[in-house]
Amino acid sequence: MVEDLSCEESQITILNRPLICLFCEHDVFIPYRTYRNVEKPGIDVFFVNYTAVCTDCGGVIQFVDPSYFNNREGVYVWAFDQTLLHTRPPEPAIIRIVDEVTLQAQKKCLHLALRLLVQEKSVVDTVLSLAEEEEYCKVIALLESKTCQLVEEINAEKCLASVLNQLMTHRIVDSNQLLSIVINESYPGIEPFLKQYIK
Amino acid sequence: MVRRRGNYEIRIVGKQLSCPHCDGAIFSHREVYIDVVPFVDEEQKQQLTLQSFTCKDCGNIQQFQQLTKGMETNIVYKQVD
Repeated sequence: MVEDLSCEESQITILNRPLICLFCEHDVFIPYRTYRNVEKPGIDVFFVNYTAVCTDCGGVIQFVDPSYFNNREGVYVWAFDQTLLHTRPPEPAIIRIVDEVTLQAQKKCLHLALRLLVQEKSVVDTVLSLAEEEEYCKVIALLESKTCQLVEEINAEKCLASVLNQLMTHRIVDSNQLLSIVINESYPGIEPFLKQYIK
Repeated sequence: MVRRRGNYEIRIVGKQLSCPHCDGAIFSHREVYIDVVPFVDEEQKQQLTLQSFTCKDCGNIQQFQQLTKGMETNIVYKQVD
């Protein structure tokens, strides 16, 4: 069952009954969410419905969503089911490119944050050399006392996020202040903030 | 706006259109535009263009979208008066 119909070539059922074109009896439609202005209870009140166009003859069927709450069984009954005729191609991966200045800022902040954790004896000092060697997965494994599982690529930014989270969890830094700096000032603010805690 | 004045017999994908209410076969025509609910990232309002056929005898309305494949179209109009 689906909540909304996707505007794609598809077979549709409404409360388990297939939608069939009244003119040519084909069952493949493109459903559009359409609306019209209605007079009552007021002007500019829109009535949303579906306008499904038969892909064979162009025949139009209009209907609303008859989903309802079944009081007797205490469940919400979704009315629509939709089988897409063409499976969508996978969405292209988003590749983020980090410029050199940002990368250096991330590494610098990561180093400072790790030094703080080492200083407070929350983690062994080998994390510093692991971070230097960009072994971020191992750094996170050490911090979270887990084995290194490469489920996703860990970059300096993700590693820094995890380390800052540790600093807040262990109450080594002021959480509210750090969050505010991360949101409003980013790296130029994080670096001096962390430095003030280093002895 | 496109409007075919007069009355027509309509064939859709080769089949005669008749009124499901009174079996009438003569229709008047209007092109109608239906507003489509925009997606979140869509700025411009989209409209669905449909051909609306009103039965001359009982007023029942049927709507079809014009589909074209090369030179062929799904709707063929034959003027009767």
